[in-house]
Amino acid sequence: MLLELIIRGITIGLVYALMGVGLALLNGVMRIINFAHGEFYMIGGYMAYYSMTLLGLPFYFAVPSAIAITFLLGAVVEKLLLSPIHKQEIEKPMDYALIMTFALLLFFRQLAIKVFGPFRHKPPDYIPVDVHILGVKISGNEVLAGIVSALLVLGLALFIKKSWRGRGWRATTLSRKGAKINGVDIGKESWISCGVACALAGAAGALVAPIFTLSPTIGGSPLVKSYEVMAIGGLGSIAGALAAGLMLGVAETLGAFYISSAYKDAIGFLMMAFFLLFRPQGLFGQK
Amino acid sequence: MKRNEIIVAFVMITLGLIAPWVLPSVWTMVVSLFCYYAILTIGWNIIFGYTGLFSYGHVAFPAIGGYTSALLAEHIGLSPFLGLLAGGLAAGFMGVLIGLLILRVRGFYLCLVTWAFAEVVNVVLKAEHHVTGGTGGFLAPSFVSGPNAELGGYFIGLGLMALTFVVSALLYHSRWGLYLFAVRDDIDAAESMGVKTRFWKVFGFAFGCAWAGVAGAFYTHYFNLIDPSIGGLDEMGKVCLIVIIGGLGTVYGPVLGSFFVVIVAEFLRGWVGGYSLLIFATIMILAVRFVRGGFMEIIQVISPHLRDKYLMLIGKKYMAPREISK
Amino acid sequence: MKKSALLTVIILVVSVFLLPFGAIAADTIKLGVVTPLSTGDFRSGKINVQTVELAVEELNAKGGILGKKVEIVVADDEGKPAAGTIAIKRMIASEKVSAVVGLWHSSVAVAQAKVATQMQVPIMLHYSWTDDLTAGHSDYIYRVGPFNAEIAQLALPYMEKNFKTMAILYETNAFGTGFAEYLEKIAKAKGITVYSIGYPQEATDLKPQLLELKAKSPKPELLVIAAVYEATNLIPKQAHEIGLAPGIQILCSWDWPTYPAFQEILGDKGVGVAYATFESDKLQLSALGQNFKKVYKAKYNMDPPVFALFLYDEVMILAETMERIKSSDPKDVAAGLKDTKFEGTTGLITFERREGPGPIWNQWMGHQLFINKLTAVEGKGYKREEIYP
Repeated sequence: MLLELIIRGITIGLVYALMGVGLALLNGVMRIINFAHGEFYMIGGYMAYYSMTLLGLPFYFAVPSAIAITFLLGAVVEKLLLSPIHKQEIEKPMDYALIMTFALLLFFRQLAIKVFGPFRHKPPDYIPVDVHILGVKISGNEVLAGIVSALLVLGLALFIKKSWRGRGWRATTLSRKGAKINGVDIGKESWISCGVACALAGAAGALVAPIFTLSPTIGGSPLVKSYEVMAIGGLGSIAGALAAGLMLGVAETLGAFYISSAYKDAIGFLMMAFFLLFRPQGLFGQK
Repeated sequence: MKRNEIIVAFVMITLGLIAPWVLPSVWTMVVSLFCYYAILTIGWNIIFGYTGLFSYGHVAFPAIGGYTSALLAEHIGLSPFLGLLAGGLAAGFMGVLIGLLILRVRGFYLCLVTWAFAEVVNVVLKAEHHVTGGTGGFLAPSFVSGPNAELGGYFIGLGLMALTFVVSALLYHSRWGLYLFAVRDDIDAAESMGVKTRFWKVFGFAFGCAWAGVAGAFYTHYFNLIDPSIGGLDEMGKVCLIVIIGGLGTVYGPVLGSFFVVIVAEFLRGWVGGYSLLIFATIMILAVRFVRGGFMEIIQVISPHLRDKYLMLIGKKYMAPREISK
Repeated sequence: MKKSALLTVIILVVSVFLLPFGAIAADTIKLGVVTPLSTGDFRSGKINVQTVELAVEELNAKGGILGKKVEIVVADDEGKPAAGTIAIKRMIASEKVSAVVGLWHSSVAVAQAKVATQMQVPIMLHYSWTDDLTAGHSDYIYRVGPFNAEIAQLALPYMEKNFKTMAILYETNAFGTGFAEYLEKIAKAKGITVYSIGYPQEATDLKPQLLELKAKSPKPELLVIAAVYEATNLIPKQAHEIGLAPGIQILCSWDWPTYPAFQEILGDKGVGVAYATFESDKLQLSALGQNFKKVYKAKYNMDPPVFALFLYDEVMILAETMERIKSSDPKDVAAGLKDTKFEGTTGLITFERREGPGPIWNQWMGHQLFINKLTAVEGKGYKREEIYP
């Protein structure tokens, strides 16, 4: 049983990491709070669903199409609605981001209810067979979700480390002015990084759609988990997000079984509060 | 307290007293809901507007106040009137504890920690369903039993709102208020001037939470029900919206904002039905984005003007040192 | 100053007319329907509205009630107690309804019932199960539908005969908690081992609870699910995913597996699932019931679930009561409902009152419970077989 719980914890932890990494990126480059992050998760899930049911595409197109659409959506949102922040036109950027992203949350959620309907949907299983890992039965969907999440997170980490653009983002996270001086075009990087962050959320949503099923209101919990992962892992740190995601996933699964299933959600919050109070830089973040 | 604030409070109370006989009966419920949000947001305004602490867990406190009052009413037969006091004290006490815990935390981190607190409260309320009734909620008695329950609750709400407004206005103009503003605007300077910033931080936080607790207890005994949704993220967003639209850090801000979000929303209900939230969100996005200088500033500029116009129209002599229209 | 005064007066007068006053009493009789339509169990809510519309159509075709046309007023209670209380308060305050039907979720209904009693308008419950609703002995609450204690008692013989250990997974609200507690009590009294786990109604991941059940020893042979919110279809699905099913027999506490959503989410994993219901092919529906079923199927292209029959009965009972007492005033209707003797769709309906504490007050006691099992996928649904009694 312990082994089963740990494996399940790792699987969901990888998806948490994916969500948290996107948010860490967004927060690092743009320095804003984003309440709508969960909604991109939801939209990604629906895009995967419709690409399979309406367009009849096979499953290996489902996740990429979700990524593509949420990337575009994220970039458009940034360009149209969030750019005033980095153009320094706003007196109180925190208030602005707060209201704007909260309004976006409401907007996307209500739009989803009207357009997709309040029903619960489930795309066809991506991998209909069950897999046995170390004697534990896991559905193929969950394995796929875990593997792809890990790949995306590692891919992003490599990108940030090696590519010029990625290093530009790291620079912006550390010091805006310094980055500008070194030739980073804050405006362009903002919409690209926003697009990438939203695309990661959309990917997470698409990956877990056949596991958790879809409805317009599923964005709430991923939003919360993303912030927990970001707080535990450390703002702006990808390694931190990965480690934090895994920690959270395993802690929740074990805690739910050995302590109490009713208090499962409190575990993440307590961990987040602990880090924020006693170690605000998280696991690997900068102070 | 400034003269115009006294006038406004008087006008509000008068309108409130005659409303049940002038408006259709459904409006007593709407106005009571307005009173709930007004008290709640005045509390948050004290915490963030006056003291500069961005608490994203504010809605946990009406939950604490409301459940305390409901449970005490159920188990020891406490009168709902005393329940208001009990709820406020419980929330205030919790506010002191949390306030002490977050003394060293600032800005964005403060937002996350207080959010975490509110969500933990939610989880506890739902998990301990044998005590709290879980997601289905918990029933509570009215303030006044019998056929006058509705009206009685309404007047109590009105009275509470007036009280809270007066207290927040007094605080604004008092020396205590100055200490809170000092904490908000420049805590290091204040500290170096000898202001006990740690004390005032906790005070501002706990005081705002206490009023939130009173609001929660009022809600519980007016609607005869409390459930965990009162402490949910949607409600917190509403609080932020109300105060920021109305004018952060001002005396009228929460009342104006609550008026907009509760009463105007009720007007629109009949016309737009299920699309109201979508329309509201769209308007918010467009307004925040495109109005130069930002939506908040526009409202803050217009609202004093509207208020002056209104006072002028109803014939009260308004002697203010500034010009009304240019 | 004069110009502004005139302006004020104009504005005030215009705004008074813009205020949404309720319609002044026309020559119609109004029936209120408050039910979840946007969130919560909106699928059942839609069926509720359709049923009442059908019933009212029939009534109006025959000349209405007391010579007046019958009008329906619909409100969405969102499946939430707070919103539901506001919805029914608003409806009673602004429309002059003679009665309110269609209440659905137990925890919402409990709060709504209190409002209705306070505002002195009768409500009729067709499928809200919690005992608390009638245990308050209100003169304004009438229930044609079954209640938790009754249902648990009716289902017990099936469990007693076939299982030695069972698990109950229930939502922690008025319906789920009430049902689970009562069932656990009477099952334990019969020597059955019972594991009972509650979860918050909006949960969408039940794997922790299911894993807990999987690890129990002795293993549970039956899984009773008391759910009506989002998790209803997720629980059987997740039970399969963690390996608890198909080894365990799943019993759904009401007939939601007959909804199309069940098949979409479960597919062939739904085969073998059983559910409890109150009508069966063996039960002789009255002429009224058979006619209703036919008309409903023709109009909405699906078989009406059993609770639609109860709701239809309620509307007809209200019509008959108003004709009998020659009044549509809600207070009179509440008093008049007491003496109902109505040939309903599934049997003769009267309202019993048993003195002393308990939920039998203005309650119809004529229900029979049946258990069906899904045997094979058929089109968009399933073939089913009655396995009890």
